[in-house]
Amino acid sequence: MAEPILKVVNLKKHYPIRRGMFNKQVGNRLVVDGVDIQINPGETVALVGESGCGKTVLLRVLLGIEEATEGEIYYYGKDITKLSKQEKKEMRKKVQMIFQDSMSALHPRFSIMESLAEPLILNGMKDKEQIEKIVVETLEKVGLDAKYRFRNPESLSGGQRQRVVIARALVERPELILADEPISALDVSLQAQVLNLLMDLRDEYKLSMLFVAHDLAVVRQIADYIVIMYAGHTLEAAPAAEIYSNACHPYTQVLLESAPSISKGIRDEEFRLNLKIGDTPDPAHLPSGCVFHTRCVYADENCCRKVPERHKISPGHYACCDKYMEIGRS
Amino acid sequence: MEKLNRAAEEEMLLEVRDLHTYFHMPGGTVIKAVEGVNFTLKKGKVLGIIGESGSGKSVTSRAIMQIVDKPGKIESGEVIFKGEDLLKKSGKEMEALRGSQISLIFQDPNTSFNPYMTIGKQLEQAFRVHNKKAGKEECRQAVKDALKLVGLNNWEEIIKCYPCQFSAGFRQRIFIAMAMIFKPDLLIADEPTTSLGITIQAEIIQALDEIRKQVGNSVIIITHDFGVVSQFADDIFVMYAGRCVEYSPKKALLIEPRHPYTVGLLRSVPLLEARKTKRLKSIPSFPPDMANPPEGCPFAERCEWAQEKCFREAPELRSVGDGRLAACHYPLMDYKTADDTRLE
Repeated sequence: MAEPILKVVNLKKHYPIRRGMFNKQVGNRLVVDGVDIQINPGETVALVGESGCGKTVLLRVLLGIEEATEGEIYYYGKDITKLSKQEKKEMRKKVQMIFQDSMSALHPRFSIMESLAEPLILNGMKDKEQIEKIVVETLEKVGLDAKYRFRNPESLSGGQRQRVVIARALVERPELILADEPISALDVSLQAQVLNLLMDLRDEYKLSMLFVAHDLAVVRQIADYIVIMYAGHTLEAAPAAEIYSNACHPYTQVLLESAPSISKGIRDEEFRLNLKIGDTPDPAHLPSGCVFHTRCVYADENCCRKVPERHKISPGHYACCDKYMEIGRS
Repeated sequence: MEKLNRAAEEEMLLEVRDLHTYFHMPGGTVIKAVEGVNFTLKKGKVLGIIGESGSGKSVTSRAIMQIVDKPGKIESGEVIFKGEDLLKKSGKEMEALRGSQISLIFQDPNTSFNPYMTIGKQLEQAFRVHNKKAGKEECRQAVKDALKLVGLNNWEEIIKCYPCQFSAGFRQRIFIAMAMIFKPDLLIADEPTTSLGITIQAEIIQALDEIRKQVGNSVIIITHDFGVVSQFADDIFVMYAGRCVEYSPKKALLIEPRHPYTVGLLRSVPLLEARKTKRLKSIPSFPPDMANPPEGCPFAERCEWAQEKCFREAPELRSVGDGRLAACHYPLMDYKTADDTRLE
């Protein structure tokens, strides 16, 4: 098997909490606390979790915007902290990010042309005609008319801006795209458009993708492999089909069952939520034992005390729940 | 008892007739945010208004409450609430209604609270708006009831806390408690779950549903999420470019949508249950610019069934059978969502 583009092993990112006159460290925010991900060439991995579970921080660490507290990240088998300057530059070119909020991702005073040309110029491209050619080509690839390149971001609609953000990630012809909730800020009809666009581009450029989302229905369209995250921990990871047919962790089951859906409406189904009322835990005071036990309906004393093990269920399918055998599958 | 309930169910609570709300922008442009909206809401029922951003769904709800900000102006129409036209009421009379009989909850629970005041104080203040002479004990009781109504049984701890001590989901729950403190007959929820995570979203919708069963209030839920309205609403009202394009009982609309825009929206939603994951059939292009809307049907440009007449003449909202309304020259009479290959 080919070398994975990106391999993340037991990644942790803690933020210190400082208080008092001498800024004494009084605790840690365990925002990401032990995540493993592997992205093979041409594969789309989806990272699913609710807001505050550490998805965005994880992406920032992968991009090198923030440094990991613990754990290793390998880019084509090489530890990214040990890359040479040249290699790091190469990696930055090949790994690009798509942000959620297109308004804050684009410079408000730059025209679309300037925004898209900037990464090319920074990478030493000097030929203006060539830059323009690439920009126009990329804009057309994402379904925007080339004349939009003279406009400012604020004069575009949300859907168009998101396309520009995607175009900017593509101008350098990357191999891996980290997409941070690329469609959740868009309207329904545009969500489908942009999702289709991402799939088309992925097929055309043979991209690998790490697709962050909070919705399992959206992810179903695009992902090959799914990682479920909660409060900085991976709770379940499996090939996409496996998650939908054979979810083992109670949290994954809740995500699958609780989302309001059209077909439930047609069948007149009542709301069913197999979950204790509560909220995602505060990263500064994570619950002991299993992080999910405060909301899990199956939790017993053991879950409060003991950190659950990573159980292998089938090849590539892992669940971090000690009681998965009793709970049964959905 | 049962008979009584049935009679109450039939009672009309709100009727909106031909509502127009325009925004007069500096420089003379007029944005027709709401252009002729009609609907009715019976007691204890849930109406779901669905539409994309800019379709005028929030403005409609604000027009009912008469809190449209300048330069917006309600141009014409009638909003009949319990037999009286709200648009003819004075500012003072409306003030007495807001909060006590009609309440509104917003999308963003962060900005709905005063950060420097405890939750208990804020709920108390909300209670005193319409109960100026209420004693301490009475206030406390009302606050307690309201928090218990939304499923927060540890109310004694909650009232001592500040808004920042809670997460967004909890804050939204407390905000619903505040809106329900007088048990109003109508609760308008403007995108109540949009900024929340999936499980929290389900919790909030469930809370709204349980409140409705206990109090018997009507709810208008405004959202762009088809999943939420499909499970929660009795009737669905689809808005596009300031107009109602389809208005129908929920089930009929989900099974056999008549308006091409509804079809497009339903097709755009990724389904968890789909056996095969095909590409979604999305609606092409973008919604029209509301400053200069197209002449004919506002959806014609994006509609795959559009004909020459659609570009010329804007369709009126008319009956398409079974008590259903659609604004389309050529409503789809035999389209079924089940035929959509994604659900085979």
